[in-house]
Amino acid sequence: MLSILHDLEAYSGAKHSGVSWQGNLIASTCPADLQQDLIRSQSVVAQLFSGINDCGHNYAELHLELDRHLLLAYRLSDDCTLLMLTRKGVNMALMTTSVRSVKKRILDSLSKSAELPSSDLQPVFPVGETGFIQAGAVQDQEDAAALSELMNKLCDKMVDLLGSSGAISFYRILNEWKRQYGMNKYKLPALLKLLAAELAGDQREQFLKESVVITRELVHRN
Amino acid sequence: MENHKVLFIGPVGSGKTTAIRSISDIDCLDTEAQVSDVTGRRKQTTTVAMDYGRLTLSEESRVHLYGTPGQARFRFMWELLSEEIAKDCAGVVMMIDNTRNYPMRDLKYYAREFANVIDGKRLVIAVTRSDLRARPSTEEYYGLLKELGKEAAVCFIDGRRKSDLLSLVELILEGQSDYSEWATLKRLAEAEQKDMEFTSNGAELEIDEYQGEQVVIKESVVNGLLNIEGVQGLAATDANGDLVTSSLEGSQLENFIALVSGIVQDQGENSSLGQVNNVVFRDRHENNLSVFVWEGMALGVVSSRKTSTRMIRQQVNDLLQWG
Repeated sequence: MLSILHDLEAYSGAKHSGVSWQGNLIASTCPADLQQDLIRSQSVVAQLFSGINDCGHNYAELHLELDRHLLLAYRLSDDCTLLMLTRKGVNMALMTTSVRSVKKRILDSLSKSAELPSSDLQPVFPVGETGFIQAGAVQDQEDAAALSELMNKLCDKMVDLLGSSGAISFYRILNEWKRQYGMNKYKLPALLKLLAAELAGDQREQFLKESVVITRELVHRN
Repeated sequence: MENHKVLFIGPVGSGKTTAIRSISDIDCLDTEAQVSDVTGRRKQTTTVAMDYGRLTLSEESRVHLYGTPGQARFRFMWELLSEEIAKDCAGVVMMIDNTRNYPMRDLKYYAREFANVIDGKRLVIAVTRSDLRARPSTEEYYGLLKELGKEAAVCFIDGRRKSDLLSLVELILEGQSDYSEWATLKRLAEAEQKDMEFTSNGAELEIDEYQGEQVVIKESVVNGLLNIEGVQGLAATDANGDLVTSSLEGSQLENFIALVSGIVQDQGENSSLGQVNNVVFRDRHENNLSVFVWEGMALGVVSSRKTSTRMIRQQVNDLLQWG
């Protein structure tokens, strides 16, 4: 998903962007210090869309003019809203065209993710949760070692399924995941979700079946 | 040869073009165009790109004077001037028209919009038309600057007087230029001005007494907005969410306009992205809805989807300031 958002930013000139799905921000290119602000903003956007819908209107586009930025929100489907943080004075036609160019990719990517078992896959950004692994404690060092081992296993699985390009996909997605969460064991479901989105049909099922088992061992270890 | 740049910013009609013309010793480059909107209540033409003039202090020292357009719809020129052409300016003169309804809101707005060029540079607030309305006073402006954490000199000037403008440039260049003949230059300017008349006709401008910075949606603002081509209706609510005025059919949208103000207030209080000033709803199959919010008050304007929402925003701001 992040690669789609980066493409969108390249087309449109937006500074940052994010995707909200069923009320949760599931992907964002915002730096850490803006992340919580974008989460709050997406909740404001959701309230505004919901309020105007209750009045019998069906707006698909919302612009919030903030002190120094413009926050644009586009409803891609009933469940999905695309958010873009831009400078003021942007070319709106360019924004709309850029959104149109990535809409299908975003919705396709979400529909793949929606097929995953919900009990194993949580929203990417539960508000208020951080849970980053801190270096130092013995338990944390053990976690780090286990995470490293798990990454090797996941990479091997991707190579088994996709050939050598599987490793390229794996590291690209791993980097996106790390950029968002750090090496956080509680966010592994999000990593699996992103990796599974690269696969199709039986391959995806096989990958999930095996990777969920080995990931659970790590997540539930005390 | 010393070359300095000074950037003039401020709202439409505050006197930027006049100031640059008054002080420049070359024919100014200006980009005036006939106004076709609410600005016409105050003047016939407005700057659409930039003003440029030059002041020669001595054989070794020149000052290049750049003026931005006042209207936010020409924001692309604000960016070009503040981020490129005059990025390396010695300082910024912010011109504020004291006869607008909320001059201190102007100061806040332009300080925020031009923060990239103002921060770390010398700033002078040049207040014009104080002969027509004395308030806000110098103390009130200094109070606001303190609140904003900005250091600046506040000068009440007549933008038509070269001697006043020379004092501003002197303040900007103090410590940044070797030029020292300011007193002589100002004396010459005063001699030139001696037989000139600088009178202001306040009666034409419909200036109200200063009521503070709390926005009031007057009847004249409502009527002015309803006369704009493409505007189909509006509703305004007060800080308690009660309806102040409405030309909309049905109460659902009126209630929603009040609700918007409440929802976005939370965003401003909790977010480093800042306050929400305006919300626009758009769709291919619906009319546009623009909601403007000020300290809990809201003004919702329904306009044809073929009408630019940026134009509506500009008109709302101008009507509030002049209505």
